[in-house]
Amino acid sequence: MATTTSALDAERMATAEPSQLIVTWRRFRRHKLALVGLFTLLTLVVICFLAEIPIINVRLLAPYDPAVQDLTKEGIFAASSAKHWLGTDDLGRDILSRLMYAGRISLVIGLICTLIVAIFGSVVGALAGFFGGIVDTVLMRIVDLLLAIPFFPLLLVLSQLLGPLLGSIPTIIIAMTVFGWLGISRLVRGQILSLRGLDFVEATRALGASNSRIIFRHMLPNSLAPIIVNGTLDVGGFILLESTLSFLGYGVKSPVPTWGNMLSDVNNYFLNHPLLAFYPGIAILLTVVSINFMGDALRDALDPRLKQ
Amino acid sequence: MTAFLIRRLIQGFIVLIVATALIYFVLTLIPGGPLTGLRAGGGNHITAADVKRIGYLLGINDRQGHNYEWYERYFKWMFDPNKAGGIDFTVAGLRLHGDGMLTGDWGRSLLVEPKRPVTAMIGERIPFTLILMSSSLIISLLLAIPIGIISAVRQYSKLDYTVTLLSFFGISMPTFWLAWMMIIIFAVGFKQWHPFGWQLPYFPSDAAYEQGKEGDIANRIYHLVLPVTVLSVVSVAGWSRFLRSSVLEVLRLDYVRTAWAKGLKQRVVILKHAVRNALIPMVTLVTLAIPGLFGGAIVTEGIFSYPGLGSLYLDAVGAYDWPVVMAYLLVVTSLTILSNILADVLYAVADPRIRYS
Repeated sequence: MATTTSALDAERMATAEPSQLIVTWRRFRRHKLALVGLFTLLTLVVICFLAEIPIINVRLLAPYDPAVQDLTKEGIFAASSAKHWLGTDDLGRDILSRLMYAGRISLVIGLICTLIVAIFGSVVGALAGFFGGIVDTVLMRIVDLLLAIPFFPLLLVLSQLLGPLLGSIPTIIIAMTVFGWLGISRLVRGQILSLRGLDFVEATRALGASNSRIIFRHMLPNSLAPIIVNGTLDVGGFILLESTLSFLGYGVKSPVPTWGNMLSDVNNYFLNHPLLAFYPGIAILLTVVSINFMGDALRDALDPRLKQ
Repeated sequence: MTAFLIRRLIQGFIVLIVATALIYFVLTLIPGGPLTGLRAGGGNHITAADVKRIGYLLGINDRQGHNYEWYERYFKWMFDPNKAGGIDFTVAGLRLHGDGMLTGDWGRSLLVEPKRPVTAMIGERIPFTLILMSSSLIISLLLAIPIGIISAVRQYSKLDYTVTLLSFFGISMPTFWLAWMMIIIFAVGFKQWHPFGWQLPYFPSDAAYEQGKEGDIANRIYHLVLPVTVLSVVSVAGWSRFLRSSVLEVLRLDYVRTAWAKGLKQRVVILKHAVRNALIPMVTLVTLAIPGLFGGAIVTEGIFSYPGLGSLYLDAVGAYDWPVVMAYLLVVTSLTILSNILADVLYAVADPRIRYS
């Protein structure tokens, strides 16, 4: 008995291909820019998330409490020094600490929105593609309709109306995700349509699998590659959108710092203190560009047509 | 083609009705509705009578302040046969009489420019935004097309790598921040720095023209430089990347190989055979970018205090000026739907393989 098993194992090992994950990683790391992006993003994430240990709220990396003000004449608009590495703002708050705390909010909002749209969009796309007919028509008409609406102006009003009811962070998440799932749903629908006629789906059905099992255990996992690529790029898109809304005053509101509202906070001073405007923007740019480098490389790495 | 155009226009009209209804319902059905914010945001200027008047204009309540049912409101807002103004004429015994958005009665502004008719405000701003957006479209195309072609033809060259890297930064750019950086450098810095005693050519960062020079076209172009640059960065980056991969795809096709084999010059093969076909999908991409440009225009116009629709909208949303907000959304949604139709039509014109009939 034992010998048979090990013989089988040996055979499997001899013919085994490297796992999907390893293949993907090998192809991903061929892109130098993506590696630079991964490294930059990881650094930013570690710095931001270790600024303060969550739950017990003990500051770890952040040199100061981001809300503490120093309104003395020497405290405000301090230049960078050993005490304040990146200087202080108009209220004497430490810029570096604020950048770290702001990064947490911006990154988390980007991730949460992406998760929501990826799940919702995939489910809608899968239903439309799988059932076809009237379900498909209705769902896709809704998608077409929402795509015809210029969403950005609407986000401002939604935020203005919902903000006082729900608080600024939930509002911005809802507003951005309402229009965010359209692309993914179209993509997944296309994937499901092309999978629908394949033999393995027929085989699963012949074995008596239910519709939901076919969709969620077989079809969606097979559509994961484009969802992952799209989702990666979406994280960057949401971070940009959030920062733009916060900058205009329709996103996350002070005192909670985000990179966007740190910029809007310095609206009246940025001509005299250009560095105050420089830092948050460069943080946004570095984050989003890193994510886009990675998304591009993932697209190559996960594309089965490129398999050698 | 005519049949297709008519069908597409009818479809577009239906989409417009449904889309505006959706926007209208979302905005008016949010608990508290637009009128609550009006009282909160408008402060003491807004009397109860004002709120009643705005509610009447938006189709929420009648003249006495009594609320309509939710399903009546959109129609009251669009076209209300019980109101006195607007359309009043008789065709073949059928009397059409009523008032509302469809008749062109868009109400008067509340706080942005109190008492001014919204149609006048929007009409005055539209040319500015159209100039800004079309300049940005033209300049983006003039830059993106050659950049895309060259980096495809010279794939993996140093130039291609540089362009790719720059375009990644372009599509990842927070535009409002870029606008500030440009202001700091080109509007303020270039005015203050005097290297070797020279005055650098600085650019203005506010308004559409200098006071008293509204007829001076050169002055207007001068004021457009910074906003157009900011608005174009993202599209140049995105479109040149798209065109690069599109050209690369076409260059692999058999008919291009045939063209090479016939001994045609490189210029002819690339420009006449490859690029022409590679440009077809660009038509859709560019026309579909128009709604995004309206969004970009809001940010850009806001920062550069450019008197277009976008900055008007920013002021209106901030001041809870609902007649202006609703009119803007109606105009921009219509323009977006029209540009979608235009995309389909242009696509058919550009690609002879497609026949709508």
